Amino acid sequence: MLFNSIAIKLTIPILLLILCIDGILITYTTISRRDHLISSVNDHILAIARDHSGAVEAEFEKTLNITKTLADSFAAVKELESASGLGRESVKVILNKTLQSNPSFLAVYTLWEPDAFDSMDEAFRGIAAHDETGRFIPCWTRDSQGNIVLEHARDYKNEAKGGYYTIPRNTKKETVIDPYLYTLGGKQILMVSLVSPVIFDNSFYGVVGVDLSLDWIQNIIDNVFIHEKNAKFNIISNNGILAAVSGEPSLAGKRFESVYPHLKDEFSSNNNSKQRIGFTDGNLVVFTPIYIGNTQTPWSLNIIIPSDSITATAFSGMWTEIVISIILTLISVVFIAFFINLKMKPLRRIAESAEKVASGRLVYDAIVTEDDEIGKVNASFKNMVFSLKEITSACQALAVGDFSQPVQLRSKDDILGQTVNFMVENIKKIVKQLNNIAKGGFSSKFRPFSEKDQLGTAIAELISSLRKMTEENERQNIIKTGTMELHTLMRGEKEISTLSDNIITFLCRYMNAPIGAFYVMDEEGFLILTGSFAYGQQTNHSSRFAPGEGLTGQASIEKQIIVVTDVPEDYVRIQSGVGNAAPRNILLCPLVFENAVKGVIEIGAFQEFSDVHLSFLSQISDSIAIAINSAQIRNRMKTLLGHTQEQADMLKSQQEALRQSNLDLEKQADALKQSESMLKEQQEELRHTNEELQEQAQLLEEQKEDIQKKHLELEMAGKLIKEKVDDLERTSKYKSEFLANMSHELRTPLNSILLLSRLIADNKDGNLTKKQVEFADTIHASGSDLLNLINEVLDLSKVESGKMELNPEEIHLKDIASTIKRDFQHLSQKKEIDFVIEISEDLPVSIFTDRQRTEQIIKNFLSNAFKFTSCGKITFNVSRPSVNSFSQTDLSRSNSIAFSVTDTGIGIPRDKQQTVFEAFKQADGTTSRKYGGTGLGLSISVELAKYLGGEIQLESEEGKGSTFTLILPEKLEQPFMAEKKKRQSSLKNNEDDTVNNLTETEKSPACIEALKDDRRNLNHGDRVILIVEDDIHFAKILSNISRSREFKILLADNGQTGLHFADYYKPDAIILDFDLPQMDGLSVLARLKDNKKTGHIPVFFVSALDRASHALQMGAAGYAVKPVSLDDLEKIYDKINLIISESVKPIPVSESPGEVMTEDHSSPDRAKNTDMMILGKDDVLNNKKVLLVDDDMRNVYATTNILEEKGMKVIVGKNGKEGIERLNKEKAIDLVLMDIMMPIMDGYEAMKEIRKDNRFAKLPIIALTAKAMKGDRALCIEAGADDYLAKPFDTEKLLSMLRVWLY
Amino acid sequence: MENQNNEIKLLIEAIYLKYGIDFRGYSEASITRRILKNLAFSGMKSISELRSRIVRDKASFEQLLLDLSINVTEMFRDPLFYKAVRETVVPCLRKKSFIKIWHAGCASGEEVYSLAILFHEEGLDNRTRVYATDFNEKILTAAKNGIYSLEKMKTYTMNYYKAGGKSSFGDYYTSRSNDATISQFLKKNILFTRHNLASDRSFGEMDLILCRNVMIYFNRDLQDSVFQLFKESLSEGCFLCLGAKESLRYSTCSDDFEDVVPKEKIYRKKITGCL
Repeated sequence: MLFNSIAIKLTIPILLLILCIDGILITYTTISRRDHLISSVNDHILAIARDHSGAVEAEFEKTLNITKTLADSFAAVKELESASGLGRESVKVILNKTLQSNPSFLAVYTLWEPDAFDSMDEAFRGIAAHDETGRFIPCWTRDSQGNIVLEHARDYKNEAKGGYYTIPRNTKKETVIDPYLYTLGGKQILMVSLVSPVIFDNSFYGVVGVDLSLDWIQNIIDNVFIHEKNAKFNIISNNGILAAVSGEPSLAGKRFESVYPHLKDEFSSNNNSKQRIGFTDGNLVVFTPIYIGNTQTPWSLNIIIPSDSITATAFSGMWTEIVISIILTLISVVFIAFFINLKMKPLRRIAESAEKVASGRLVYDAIVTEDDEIGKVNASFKNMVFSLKEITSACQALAVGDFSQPVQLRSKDDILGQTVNFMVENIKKIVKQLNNIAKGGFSSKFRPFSEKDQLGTAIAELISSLRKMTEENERQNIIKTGTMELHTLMRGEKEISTLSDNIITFLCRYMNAPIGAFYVMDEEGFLILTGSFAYGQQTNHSSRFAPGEGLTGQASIEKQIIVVTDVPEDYVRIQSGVGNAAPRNILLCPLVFENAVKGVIEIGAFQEFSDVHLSFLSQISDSIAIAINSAQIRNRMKTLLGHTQEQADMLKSQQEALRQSNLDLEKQADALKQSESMLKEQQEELRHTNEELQEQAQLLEEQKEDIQKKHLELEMAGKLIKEKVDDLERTSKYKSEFLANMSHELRTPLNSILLLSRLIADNKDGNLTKKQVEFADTIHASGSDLLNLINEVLDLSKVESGKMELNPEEIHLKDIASTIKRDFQHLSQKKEIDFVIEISEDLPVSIFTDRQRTEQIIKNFLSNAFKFTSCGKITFNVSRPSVNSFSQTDLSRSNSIAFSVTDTGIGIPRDKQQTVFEAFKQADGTTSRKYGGTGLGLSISVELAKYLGGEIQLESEEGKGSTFTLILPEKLEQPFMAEKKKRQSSLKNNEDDTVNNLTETEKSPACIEALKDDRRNLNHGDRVILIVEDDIHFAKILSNISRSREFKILLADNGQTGLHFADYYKPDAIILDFDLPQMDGLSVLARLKDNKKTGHIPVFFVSALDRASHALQMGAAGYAVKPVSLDDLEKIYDKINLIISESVKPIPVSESPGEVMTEDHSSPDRAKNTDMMILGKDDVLNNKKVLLVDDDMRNVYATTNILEEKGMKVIVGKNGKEGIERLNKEKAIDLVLMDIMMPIMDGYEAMKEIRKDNRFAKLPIIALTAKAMKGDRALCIEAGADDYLAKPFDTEKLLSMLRVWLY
Repeated sequence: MENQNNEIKLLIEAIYLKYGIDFRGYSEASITRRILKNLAFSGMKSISELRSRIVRDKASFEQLLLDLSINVTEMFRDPLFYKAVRETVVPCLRKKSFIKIWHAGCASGEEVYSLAILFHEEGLDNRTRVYATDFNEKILTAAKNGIYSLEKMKTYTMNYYKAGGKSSFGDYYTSRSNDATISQFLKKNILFTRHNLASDRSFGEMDLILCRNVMIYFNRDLQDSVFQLFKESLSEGCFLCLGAKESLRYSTCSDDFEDVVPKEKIYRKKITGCL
C-alpha cells in the first residue's frame, strides 16, 4: 500500500540517485588522495634508500680501495723484482700502519703464494707471520684489549673458511667475503673481509685483505629517520645474510629468509641489481642494490614499511565525507516526500469516488479541487456518472421485459442510447419467431437480422439440425434393430449350414429381398453355397465359385460390396407358386474377418437397395464373418479334439507302462542303497573298533612305559649307589685283600718258622749236628728276609694306595744321629768299615716330620751302603742341601735338611741309576744274588720321601761309590699325597734328553717350504704321514723320525694347506699341531672329520696346551702334550703302525681288543657315539648275559672283550651244538649272538633248534654272517633270528643292536 | 550327560570352523574320553571354557589335537605294503631322473624313515626328495628328531625283515640307553614341513604320495577335497598309497585313478595325455 503511493515511488529513485552520486564522488577523492600519498612516500623512501645505500657503498669502497692500493703497491715487488725496497718487514709495517689508522678494521693481512714474494721462503721458515714452509702470510689483528698483534693468516687451506684466499685467486678480482660473526673479547662482532688480489702481469701472487667490523653499518641505519615508526631498515649481503637490522643489531648475521620468511620470494627473485619497490604481503618493500668494488652480485639495502601506516591518513578523510553526504541526502528526501504528498490529496479522493462508481454505486461525492488538470478530471467524472445513471434505468426496464421505455438520446453521438433502443426492437422479433418453432414449425425458415446476428443464425441452425436428427434417429433405429436380431440369431453353437440358412433368411426378410444365397469359403479357397433363401437349384447356376469367378468370386477378391442394378430378365428368377419374376438388383457382400474373406452373401431384390440396407450390411458383415469363422474353428477344434483324445489315451497307456518299470527300478535302487549303507556301517564300526583298540593299546603302553620309567629310575638310583660302592670297593679291594693276606696268612706261619728255626739253631738239647744247626740258621735267616720282604711290600702297597699314615713330631737331629749310630756302630765294626756321622753347625736343633719314616729311609740308605761296601768308609752327613735344584718345587736350601749317606762301594753305572729306584730292580741283575735284598727298599724310600714332602737324590760313579741324599723340609706342612707321577720325574736326571729344548728355539715358519717333503715321489702303496706343523724344527724332527720308520711325509705349515693335502693325497695318518697360523688345530680337526674323504684318517694331536680331551672328543686318535719327549713320539708312531697294519689285514672284528676307547682311531660317527657313551651309562647292557656262538676264536676273543667292557657276561659256544648245550645249562641268558658258518651244527640249524623250545621262543637271537652272502639274511630270519648283522661288524653297531634287543 | 554331549558337539564344530579339522565323524565315546582327558590335564573347568580357549589359543588347540589324534604309527607298518612298494612302485620310479615323494600326515616320522630306508636300499636315495608333512607342529619336531624307544625298535626290526629289508636293520639307527636315533644319512633327503591337508594347497608335482591312515579321520567331503588335492599334485602315471582301511573307490576322484595293488591300496593316476 505504502509502495503504491506515487509519493514513495517518486522519492525512492531520487534517494538512490543522490546516494550514487555521493558514492562516486567519495571514492574518487579517496583514491586520488591515497595515490598521491603513496607516490610521495615512495619517492621519499626511494630517496632515503639511495642515500643510505650510497653511504654504505662509499664506506665499502673506501676500504676496498685501501686493499686495492695495498695490493697494487705490493705488486710493485714483482714489477721491480728485488730492486724495490719493499721487503717482508716493510710490508708488515705498511699493514700495521693501515690497521692503526683505521679503527673500524679488525685485521689487515696479506697472503702470498709459496715463494711468490721474493723466492726466499726457505729462509723464513718458522718465523712469525710465516707458515712452516716460510710462506709469507702476515696478518695484523686487534686482540681483545684492542692491541695490535702480528699473527699469520689462518684457514686459507680450509675449504670452508678459506674463501678469502681461494676466491680472489680463482677470479683475480677483489672480493667481499660474506659477513660472519667473530668473537673478540667475549663480544660478538659481525665482520666482513674485503680482499684484493695481488696481480702483476696478469699473474696471481697473493691477496691483501682487510677484516672490517660492520658496526658502522648498524650506526648508519640506526640513524635513518623515516616518519613511520614501524619501518624496518636492513642491509643484506650478496648471499642473503643480514649485515645490519635497524634497531635490532642482534639479528645481524642471520639469514634474511629466516628473519623475514614471508619476504623470501621477494628477496630471492634474482634481480637484486636494480632498485625495486613494491607492495608485498601488506608491506611496502624496497630493495636497493649496494655495489662494492666490481663484485658481481651486489649487496642490498632493504626497507620494509607496513602499508597500513601509509594509507591510514587517506582513509580517515574518506569516512568524514561519507557521514556528511548521508546526512544531507536524508534531509532532502524528507522534504521532497512531504511536498508530493500535499499535492496528491484531491486526486486521491477522485480515485476513491471512481472506485465506488466502478463497483456499481453510481454516486458522485462533491470534491473540491483547484482549477488545474486535477479540476478538469473532477468535472468530467461528474458528467459521466450522471449519464450512466440514465442508461442504467432504461436497461433496468428492459430487464423486467418492459420493452416500452426508450432511452432519451443525449446527443447525436449517443451510440449507447441508440443501441439500447435497437436491441429492444430485435428482441421483440425473436420472441415472435421462437413462439412459432415451439409450435413444431420446423419447415418455416428463420432469417437472421444480419450476418452478425448470432442469435438468429443459431436459431436457424437449431431448426435444421433438429430436423436432421429426427431422420437419422429413425435410420439408426432400423439398423440397430436388425443388428440385434441378427446377433440373437447367430448366438449359440451352430453348424455352418444352419447358420448360413438362418442368416440369409433373416437378411432377405429384413431387406425385403425375394432371393438370397450364402457362400462360405472352404479350406481350398472356393466359395461354396451353404444357405439360400427362395433360391432353387436352377440350371447353369453354379453352387461353387473360385475367387474371381463371377461376381461372387469378384466380391471375395475386392472385399467390397458390389451392387448390380438393371439385371437382365433371364439372370435369375424369383419363383413362387403363383409365378416368377427376375430381380432387378443384385447385391454381393463379402464377409471379411481379419482381412480374409470368409464368405459372400448374394441378395437379389426388385427395388433398389436403400442406403440403410447397405450400411446395415456393411455393419453386420464383420459379425457374420466372425460367426462363420467361429463355426469353422469350432468345426476344426472338434476334429482336433478327437485327435488329441486319441493321443491322450495312447500316452496314458505308455505312462502306465513307464511307471511300472520305474517302480521296478526304484525297488532295485532301494535294495542297493540298503546294502551300501550296511557296508558303510560295518566299515565305520570296524574303524571305530580298530581305533579304540589302538588307543587302548597306546594307553596300556603309556602305563607300561610309566611303570618302566619308574622302575628304571629306581634301578638307576640303585645302580648309581652300587657303582659308587663298587668303585670304593674296587680301589681298596686288592690292597686290603693283599694286606690282610700278607699280614695274616703269611706272617702267622712265618712266625712259627722263625721261632722254631731259632729254637732249633740254638740246639739247646745239643743233639744236632753242626750242619743241622747251620741249616736251621739258614732257615731263620731266609725267614727273616722273607718277613722283611713282606713288610716292605706291605709298606710299598700302603704308600702306593695312599694308605700310609704319618705321625709327624718334633725330632732332634741329634736323636736321629744317635739312633743311627747305635744301629750301625755294630755293623761297621763287624765289617771293619769306618762309619762317620757328621752334623753341620748351621742346622736347627730339631725338625718336624715323621720319625719312623725318616729313619726308615736313612736306614735303608745305610744298609744298602754297608751291603755294597766292602772296604773304605761310610759317611752319614746331616746338613743343608749342597745343590739348589729340587724336583719338589717348594723345597729350597734354606728350608730343608739333607741327610746323605756316602759310601765307597761298587757304585752304580750311569745307565742304571734310574732303575735302582724301581721296584724289584737292582743295578745289576746279578746283584741280588751276591748281596741279597729285595730291591724294594729304594722304591719305598722314594715314595716315603715324597710323602714327607721331600725327595731323594743320587750321585754315583761306578767303582768309586755312591751318595744317596734324602732332602726333607724342616717342617712337614701336611701329609703329602703321593702323586701318580712317573718315577723318574722325582729323580733329578741331567740326561733327561727331550725335544723340548728344540721347541724352545726360535720358530721360522717361512723356512718350512725349505724342508723337502715327499709329495713329488709318492708311489702306490707308500705309507704316508701328513705333518701339519708351522715350527720348522719340530717338523724336521717329525720328518726324520717318520722317514726312519719308513714313512713318506707331506708337510704343511698351515691348516688350510693341511686340509688341502689331506683331501688330495689321502695320507695314512696326520700329525696335527694345535697352534697354527690362520686356522687353529681344532678347526682343522673338525674339518677333517666332517669331510667324508678324510674322516677316517687317524689324526694325532700335538698341543702345547692341554686340549687333548677336547681333541679326543672330536675324533683325534691320540695326542701328545708339548714339550714332547722322544718316548711320546715313539708311542705315537707305534700307534700309527698298529692302525695302518690293522687296516691292511682286516679281521672280522675291526676293533682290536682291550684298547682304551678314547685313544682309539675313530671315524667321526664313532667319535660322536663314543661321546654319547661317555655321557650316559650303558645300563641296558650292564650285567646282561650273552651267549656267543662262534668258532672263530679271534672273533670270540675280540667280541668278548668288547662286551665285557660294557659289563656283560659272555658265554661262548664253539658251534651250534655247543651253543644249545650252553643255553640249556646256563640260566637266564638274555641274548644269543649266532654265527652261521660253523662246523658240526651251523647257525641256521641251531636257531631252528632253539626256536623249537618254548622257553626260548622270545629269546632274542642276532645272526652274524659274512657280508658277501646276500641270501643269508632272509634265511636267518626264516630260521628264527630276530636281527641280523654282517661281519666284519662295527662295534657300535653291535652295541646299538644289543641295546634294542636287551631293552 | 546330554549337556556334555552337546558341549562336545559344539567343541568339535568350533574346531572344524576355526581350523578346518573335522572330528565330526569320530566315535562319540572315544572322543568324549579324549576331550575329558585333555580337560583334566589343562585344568579347565568346562568344555565350553576349553572351546573358547582353543579358538583363541593355538597352543592349547595343538595340545588338544595331540590328544585327539591317534598317532599310532610304526616303522614298516603293514610290511607287505612296503614290500609291494618295493616290487611294483620302485621299478617304475627307477626310470625317473629325480623322484619327488610326498608323505602327507607323516606323524612322528616312522613311516617316512621306512620309506627312506627302502629307497636307500634300492639305491635311489640320492635322487629322491621326500616331503614329509603334517599339520601338527609338535609331532613334526618329533619326526625330525627321529628318536624312537628301544622297545618299539624290536617290532620295527621284525617289520623291516617282513617288508623285504635287504640289509641289517642295525645299519639304520644308533641306540642309547633308552632310545634309538635314526641314522643321519637317512635324513638328508627328507624335508619335514607343516602342511594342513584340510586347508593348504598343492606344492608341486609328485611321483609318489603316501597318505596312510589319515583319511579315516576325515568326513566324505574333506576326503574328496584331499583326493582332489592329491590328484592335482601327482604327475600322470604316478602313485598314491593309502592306508589299509582307506579307499579311493567311493570318492569323486575314483575315475582318475587305477588300481595297482588293490590289497595294499596302491593307486596310480591314469594317463590321459596322448603318448
